[in-house]
Amino acid sequence: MSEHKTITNHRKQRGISRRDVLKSTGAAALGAATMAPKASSAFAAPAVIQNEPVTLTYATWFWWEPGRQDAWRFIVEKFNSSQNDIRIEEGGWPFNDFTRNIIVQAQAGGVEADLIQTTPDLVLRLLDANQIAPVQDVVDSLGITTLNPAHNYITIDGQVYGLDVVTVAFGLFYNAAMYEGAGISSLPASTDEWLTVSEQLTERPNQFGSFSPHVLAEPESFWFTLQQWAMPFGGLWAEGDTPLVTSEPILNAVSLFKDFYDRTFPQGTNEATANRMWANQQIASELIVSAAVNTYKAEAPEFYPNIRSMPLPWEGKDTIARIHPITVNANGEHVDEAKHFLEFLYTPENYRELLTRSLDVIPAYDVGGLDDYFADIQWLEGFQDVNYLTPPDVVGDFVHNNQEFGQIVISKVSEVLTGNQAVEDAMADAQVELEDLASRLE
Amino acid sequence: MSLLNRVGTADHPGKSAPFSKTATGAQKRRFALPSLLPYALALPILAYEAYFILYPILQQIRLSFYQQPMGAAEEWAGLANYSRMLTDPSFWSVVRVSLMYLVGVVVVAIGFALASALMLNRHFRGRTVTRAVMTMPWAFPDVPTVLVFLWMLNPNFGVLNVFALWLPWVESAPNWLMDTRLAFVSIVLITAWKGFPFYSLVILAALQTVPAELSEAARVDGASKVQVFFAVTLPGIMPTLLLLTVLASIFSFKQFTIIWLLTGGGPAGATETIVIRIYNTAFRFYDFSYAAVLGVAGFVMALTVALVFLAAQRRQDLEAA
Amino acid sequence: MASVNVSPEPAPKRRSPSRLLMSVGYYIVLAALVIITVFPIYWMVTTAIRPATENLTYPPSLWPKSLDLEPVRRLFQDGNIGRWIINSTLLSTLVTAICVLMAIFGAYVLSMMRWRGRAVFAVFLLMTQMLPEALIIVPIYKIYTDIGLRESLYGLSLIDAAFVLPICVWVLKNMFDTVPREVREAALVDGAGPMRVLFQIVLPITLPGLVAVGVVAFFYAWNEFLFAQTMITTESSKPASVGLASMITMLDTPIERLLAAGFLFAIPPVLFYIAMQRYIIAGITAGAVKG
Repeated sequence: MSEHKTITNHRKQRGISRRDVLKSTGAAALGAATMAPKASSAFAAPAVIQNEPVTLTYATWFWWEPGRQDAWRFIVEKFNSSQNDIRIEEGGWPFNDFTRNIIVQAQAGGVEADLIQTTPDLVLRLLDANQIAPVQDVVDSLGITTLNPAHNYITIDGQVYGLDVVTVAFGLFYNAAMYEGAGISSLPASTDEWLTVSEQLTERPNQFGSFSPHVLAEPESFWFTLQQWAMPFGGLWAEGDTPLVTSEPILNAVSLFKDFYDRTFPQGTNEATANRMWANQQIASELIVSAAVNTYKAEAPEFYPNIRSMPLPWEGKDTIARIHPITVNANGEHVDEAKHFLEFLYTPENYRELLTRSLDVIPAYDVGGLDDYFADIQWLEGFQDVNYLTPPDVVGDFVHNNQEFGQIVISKVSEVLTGNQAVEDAMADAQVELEDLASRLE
Repeated sequence: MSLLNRVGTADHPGKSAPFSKTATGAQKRRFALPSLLPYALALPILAYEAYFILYPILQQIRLSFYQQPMGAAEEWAGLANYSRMLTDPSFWSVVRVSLMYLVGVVVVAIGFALASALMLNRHFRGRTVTRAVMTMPWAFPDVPTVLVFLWMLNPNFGVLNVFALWLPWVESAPNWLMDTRLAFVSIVLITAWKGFPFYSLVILAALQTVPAELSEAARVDGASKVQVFFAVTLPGIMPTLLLLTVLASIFSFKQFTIIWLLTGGGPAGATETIVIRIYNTAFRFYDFSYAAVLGVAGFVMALTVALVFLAAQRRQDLEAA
Repeated sequence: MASVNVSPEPAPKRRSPSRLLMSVGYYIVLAALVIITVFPIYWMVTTAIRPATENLTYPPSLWPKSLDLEPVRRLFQDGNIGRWIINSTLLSTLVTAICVLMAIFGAYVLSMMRWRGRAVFAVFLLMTQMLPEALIIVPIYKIYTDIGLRESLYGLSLIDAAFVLPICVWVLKNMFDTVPREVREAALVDGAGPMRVLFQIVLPITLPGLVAVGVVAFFYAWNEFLFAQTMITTESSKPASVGLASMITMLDTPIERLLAAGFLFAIPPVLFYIAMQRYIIAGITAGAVKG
């Protein structure tokens, strides 16, 4: 890891330093450098200048994610060394700052990176603002016909505007050692059973049956996970431009969340601490996304083997899957080169390598050859026979303003959690505000 | 240059120097010739601030009359953004929280600062060290402050639960940041913890300028300590307290990091100040026009505080003159 | 601490029992104030240096039962914390220099010169001081993109300084106000020009005030987060506030390492404060006279 890091850090400098030129042109340039060690790049041999590669910036938060960063550094390094024309350099910010910084750039005149990693929400923002280019030709030239239908909502007139590089889907994960230790022989078959089991495993203040983000200081995680709590009831938060937060399934979902909060959560704990407790085997179960599991393999090796996922304890096994497409900056100078990288990335061999190194489980297209890999993952069970829903399925047209929609909902749910308001009243208030939002967005 | 050379000294005996007011009308009359020097010196600052702050502000004010969808041309919106704000009930809740927070921080921080300054104003061994230690939080940066308080307030492992449970009326560990009232009190106290040392130093300095003879004389006349405090000490440091009130108002009005990282404005809007709302609107909902309107509202609130301060200072100047 | 100094022996004859009681009460309250002030800092260090299992237990022990310096070691091994702190130091120094330099003239014209527009200038400065940074981040970002100031600590120092300069001017003005008029006038009568008065008479007297202003600017820049993290995305140029925040974002960062990083981040300004304390207090004393 540190090796990759050094290499990429050099490339962070703006423009191309002499050092980079030397690196990329190998021994010949090295020889030249030995002969004229003080020469600046301007005096380098003509051949070197001609071979100067185009540098593309790939803005993503992956560089800050343990586990995933190694997978990406590997792939990028592989690409960089496979040819001499294009070099990919790291850009972006940690996840919590990422969307905001991209939007600020877009608002201030245009995103700067050539390749932009997006979330399900951000990709729509950029699409609405004409910031990203269609990449259908990449899919076509590779002959991929099995692209995950989750791409449909970013496909316009047969042109897809981004390629998923990590689908994150919610699973109900649990700590097998803790379940066994408590003598729980059969996994819960309903949310009520899950609640009972979780309550049984809760021994305040040091051990808790479950956790889900619920503090407003982490609004993104709160809303992102809360949406999933409607799945047991087949609930949708909105359809088209009509908010549905007073519908029966949503009221049930919020009540369930409240019950879990009251009886099984470490209340008021933020996500970082909860993750630590989860890894420290103090939390027994969580509705989390598969992508998060990777972190534990890298950072909590003694805990990782205990992770399992259970078949979703509800009918229909609905669960939200969120694609995270990599997109090409339509206003950048290197659209073709960027697409060239995507083509490399989506080649079955490379894509498979990225997926397995990232410890992901939902391929973006039918890449094949993953059976051995899947067989080794002990926590895959809960991801089988599930029914995936995408963000637009769950929040309708509000997917374009998901954060604002979410903020209204979680503020009201927060009223419920603090005991200030009954579920029905809080959600009725939310409905009014959401209808307001809908009328404003028309 | 003849800027100051006609200023006489006869009507200002030396003893009044510490409390003399420099901006009184009496002085203005003494200037015979205007000079370009003050303009030349003020200009760089003016230009600098105008470019980096005033110009962006004007752009924001302009934007508040437009709708600007991302990546599209802006459209004239007239007062639509303003009417949306004024009819938005949550806007008024934000204004209320901002003011409550401001008042809370000013009262707690300055109260605490006054108390500690009065204590430190006595002579005892180890005074210098105590003073250095007690004013340490001023130097302590915001992010680490938030980190440690978040940890201390953790409902499961937080050490403050231990202390809270020592209190006879507390039966179970308080859910600090998930309870609307406790969350509000927590952020006020944490902001005050971070802010009071500076105010304390300033008050301490002011206390040392209150002439000791005055309070001694009062004591001799049989006044109690409390009476002396209200009759002599407090009036002596009143100008300082006024200045600190303004400073504390400004700092709490601007406060972002502590609230954002501790509560994010929650729970249930209990700690959502106008700054948090502006940030949410601009950087989470990407509604830059509406954020601009909220910014104008914040601007008006700031202006009000500034004017109140100037008025109060003027009154004091007049009283002192 | 101070309370240790309370004599346990019988009160001296001059003291009545009630006075002794008052005295004991005084030290108890003082000790309480000191504990309240210092405890969070103590807790930060304690949490950072003990093993995770001790931290994730309730009730926590009030002092570490065993030491685990692994988080601190990993902080240096994995992270860029050294680089970040160097960047922050550079940034804060720049901001301090800009502010001190400009504040001298601003305070001078506000405190010692009478001119038309002075009141407007004063209100303007006050207002700019009151604006929340979030208000102008988008237009500032545009400006910075246009003139190519992003990704640079020098560029960042300009906007940071713009935000803290008004309060610096204000503080320094109050200190200038305390310079006895007679002193200035004597110099003027001797034929010195206004600039000579400033540099040879006023500044030497108000040197502690300058230090206080420098400290205010330094702390502001050290703390500033919003501009820094919007303008600087290059890993090698990040100041420590942004670096620290990126550690928070990494969900796996254990609390021990986070608090260790936070504490390291706090050390430079605290040392700076302790070193400058004498001047700061003298400076503030001068300023407080005017109020």
